[in-house]
Amino acid sequence: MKLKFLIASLTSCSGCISTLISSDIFPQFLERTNISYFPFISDEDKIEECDIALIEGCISMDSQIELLKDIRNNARKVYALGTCAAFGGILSLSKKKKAGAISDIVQIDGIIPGCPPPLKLMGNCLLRLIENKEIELSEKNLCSSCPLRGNNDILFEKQIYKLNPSGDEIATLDENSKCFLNNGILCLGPITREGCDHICIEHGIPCEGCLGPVSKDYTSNLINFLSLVNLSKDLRKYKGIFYRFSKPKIRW
Amino acid sequence: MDIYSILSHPFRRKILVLLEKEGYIPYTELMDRLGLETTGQLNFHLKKIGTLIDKDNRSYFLTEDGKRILKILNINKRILSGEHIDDYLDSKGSEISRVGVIICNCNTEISNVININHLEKYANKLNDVVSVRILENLCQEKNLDKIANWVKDNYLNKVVIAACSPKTHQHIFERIFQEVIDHANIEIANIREQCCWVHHSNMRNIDPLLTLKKAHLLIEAAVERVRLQKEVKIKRVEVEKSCAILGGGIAGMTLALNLARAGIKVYIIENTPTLGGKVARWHRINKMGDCSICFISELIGEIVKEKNIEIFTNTDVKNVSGEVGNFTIDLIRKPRYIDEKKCTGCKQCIEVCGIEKENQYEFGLNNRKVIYIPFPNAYPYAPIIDEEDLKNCLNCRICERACMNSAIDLNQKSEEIKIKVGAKVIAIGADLYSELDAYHYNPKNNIITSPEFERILSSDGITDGKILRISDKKPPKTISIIQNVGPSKSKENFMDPVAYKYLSCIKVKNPDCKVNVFYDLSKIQNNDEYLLKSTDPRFHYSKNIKIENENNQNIVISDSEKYPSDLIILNLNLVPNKDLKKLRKTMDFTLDDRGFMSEDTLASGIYGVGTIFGPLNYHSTISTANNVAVEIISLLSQDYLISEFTGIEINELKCGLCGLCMQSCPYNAIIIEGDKINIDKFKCKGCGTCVSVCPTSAIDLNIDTSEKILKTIEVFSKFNKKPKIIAFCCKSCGYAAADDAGLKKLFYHPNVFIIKVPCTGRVDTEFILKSFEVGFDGVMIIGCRKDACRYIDGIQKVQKKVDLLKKVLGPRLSRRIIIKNLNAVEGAKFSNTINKFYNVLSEEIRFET
Repeated sequence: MKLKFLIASLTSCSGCISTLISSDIFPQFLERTNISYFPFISDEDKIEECDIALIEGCISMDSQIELLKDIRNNARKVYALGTCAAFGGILSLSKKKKAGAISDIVQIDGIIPGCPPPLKLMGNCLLRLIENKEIELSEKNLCSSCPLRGNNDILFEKQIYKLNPSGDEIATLDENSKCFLNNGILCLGPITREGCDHICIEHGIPCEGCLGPVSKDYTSNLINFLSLVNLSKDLRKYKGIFYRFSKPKIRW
Repeated sequence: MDIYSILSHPFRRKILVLLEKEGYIPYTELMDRLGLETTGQLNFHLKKIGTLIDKDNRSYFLTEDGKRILKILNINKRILSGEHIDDYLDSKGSEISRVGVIICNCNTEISNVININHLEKYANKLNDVVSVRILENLCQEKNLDKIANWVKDNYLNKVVIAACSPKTHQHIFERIFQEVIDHANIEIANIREQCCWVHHSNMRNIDPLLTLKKAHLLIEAAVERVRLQKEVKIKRVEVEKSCAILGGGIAGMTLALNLARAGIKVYIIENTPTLGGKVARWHRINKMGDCSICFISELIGEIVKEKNIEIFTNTDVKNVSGEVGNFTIDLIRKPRYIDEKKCTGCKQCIEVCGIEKENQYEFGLNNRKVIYIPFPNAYPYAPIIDEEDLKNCLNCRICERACMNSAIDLNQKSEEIKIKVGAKVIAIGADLYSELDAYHYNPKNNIITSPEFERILSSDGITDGKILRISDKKPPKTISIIQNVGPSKSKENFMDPVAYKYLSCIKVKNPDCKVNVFYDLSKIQNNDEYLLKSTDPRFHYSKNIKIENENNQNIVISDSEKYPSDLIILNLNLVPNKDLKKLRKTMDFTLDDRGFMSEDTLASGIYGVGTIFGPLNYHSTISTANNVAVEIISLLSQDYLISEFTGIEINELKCGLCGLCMQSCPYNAIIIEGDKINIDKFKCKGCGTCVSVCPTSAIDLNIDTSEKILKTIEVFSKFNKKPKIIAFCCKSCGYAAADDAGLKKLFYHPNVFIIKVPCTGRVDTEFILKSFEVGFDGVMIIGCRKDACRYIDGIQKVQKKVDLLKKVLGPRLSRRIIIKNLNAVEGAKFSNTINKFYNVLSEEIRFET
């Protein structure tokens, strides 16, 4: 029996849905499901009862709250698609706009994280949803399977002074390269969920943490982590790293 | 066959219990365990048990049904009619919670302040609470039977005690429940010290309903915490009947003798080449007839005679692992270059040696050879060459040839030794103050220190016991003694006896000599007491003391008066031993404000004797050594210590091996090798610093879990009056300070909720954010003073987190987090800090609305 899907967008760049549409699995997805509501590709604008709702984007306006509650009431299960829906996303960097995760408003059944979600991760998750199974995400962090892991001991003494490696450093990356943290570059791998197949790291760029944390919240993890490393003065002043994908849920 | 018939036979019950405990048991072993002779009997029972057990190709195990049945039995132990109940005691804790609440009225201390019946009603409605009882005095023995029956009748497996602080009576409560409930499943709600005694409505205009509400929430949080407690494994440690003593001074030796005579094997570990410590070089001890070296050598003689004592001189401690009852200590014996067993002490080698060095055992007053015996009564009586000296000596090897017994081996290497002991004692004593530039210290110019004067007085010293000036070897006519030469504002007044001792010695040896004793009042705390003592005309108490040199004559200027002195003695204060900081991590103790060892925070199995806690005279040293001996004997007379491992547990399914925990551990107890992470459970002290930084929550403490703390925060947030404040207090200092405020009945507002953490390093940023999220207005973190943290640097670690967090939160919210360093007796400061913080917050809140 085909399950009934609902796919909605809140405040977002539509990157997650674009990734979904352009993925190899999408034709199969269309074939094996009934899609009742998907404003991105269809004109149908009535929210009716469905099995699974996928929601992309964060909450930044009050009107979205109503829509979200409506969806929750009609859907058997609600999943957050992408980092914005799961944690608040890039809009958290804004001082004026609020950026809430959908889980702040309604109860959700799971997340498909990533900015955008890596193809393999999203594919696997969707397949499980089509087959009416729960999503399974790794409970470990990125370091557990990092390609740069084997070559060095885990050291934190070196001062962390920059966010990205220079062009030369990226070019010389090979299998003998050391962990970014050993080279003084801030990598958020330790506090980020495993599951992206290290796309960035294999291209010579440190992890930015788009898959979000495994447990606790992003800010707590980041602060706990940074309290252990020797952070340079400049980086300590740089607030961007603290809000890149989510903000703490307290009153401001 | 129905369950009741299966369980009716004790053999069958025993089979089930054994299988639950071991998991898999092969047929033959099962027969062995049950003590059965014939297979027929066992086959019969196995068949009867039927579906509750199953068998793979080798062993029997419990089926899901079997496990369920045992779980039911586990709660209802009485079904087993006492016969095999013991088997259950080591698999305590259960997923099913039946919580009992005891409210101790503490002789109306509670009911005077709040309505205790209301409290009972509230507790009755809480989740999983089966029964609530009010008692007058839980801490009294007569309640023992009553309690045990209450637990049994209600099938309780978890208990919440709403009473006084765990610091006061936790051990008594644990003893009361010893037989029936495991102590991990006992939670204490501190409604006396942290509620009734500090939020008394008579104190200020406090709404009594607020105090009641706080008591409600304290109990509710305790119930929620105990509900979340999972099973804790019990560990049995075989007690090693031996003791290691670091330091071979009088304190260490006296203790060693006491222990050895009680049948305990003692290892004395001394890092200098000889026993005796500092006192061996003193002239004599106050109020003791004998000269010190005479009775020290007597003591050494007795020690050497004792078979149970093994002495390691010239030996350092490299590493300590293990726990109370069973420590392993790695020692390094530095090379002596002389075989003590072959050496006869003929001193031939010393005579032929051509190089001289300053003699540190005479405080540099004379010289010694490179190969030397520290002092005439040293033990072992054999020469030594310092490792450093050997590198710089001529390497002529004349000493080697001079030795008739070929005892000298210049190629000797350091040796590693491993010993196992049940207890460890630190007795390395104190150092003498050494920053003497302000006093123009110069022995050649007759300004000497007290130890140097002791050497002058000693009959084996450099002047053969005559009082002579070092510069010209003439007897001095005037001597000035300057007291309390040491770090400013010292509290100690053990200086007087020393001065009297010198006065009497000088009087005997040099009757015509005039002696003056000077006190610098600016250096003494409580100087009023000193003024009261100033009856002796030779004692001068002045506000300022200076030493000057006029026409080759040393002059002591006391205020404005001048005292020409032929000899000036600087009576040195004792300062903390410089090795203490190094030993702190391996031996596991903390330092107090002055830098001495802190007595209050010593963990079980670790002891200190002598001047390690601060200046002490001979008689007190001996009596403390005797006291400690009794403590150690009583500890080591047990065969087993039963302990539950309270520390961290790692869930390998979640661990990503990122190493953050390793980085944060103050004891290097976490080891990552390749793809494996291991905890050295002997090194882990359960501070929980690693738990606070683990990004995947793979590590958790088994008792103070994050889940419990978060739940407690949530429960406390139900308080109905703003501003709400949460205070994370470390168990050794912050929590104790709160209790101190309670004991002194110092008022603070009931809006403050205290959460006990093992160490402030345990405080996760998540806790702080969560507190703000659920509606708290202020967060306080109250920990130890810097350098006095039981877990080395927990307070610094949380400070770093908070500094970063404040940057994220911006100025308004960062004013709402404060960190305070208190020690256990600063209850007044505790309540002041809270009240100040409360006022600031209420002001801010009023301004906002």
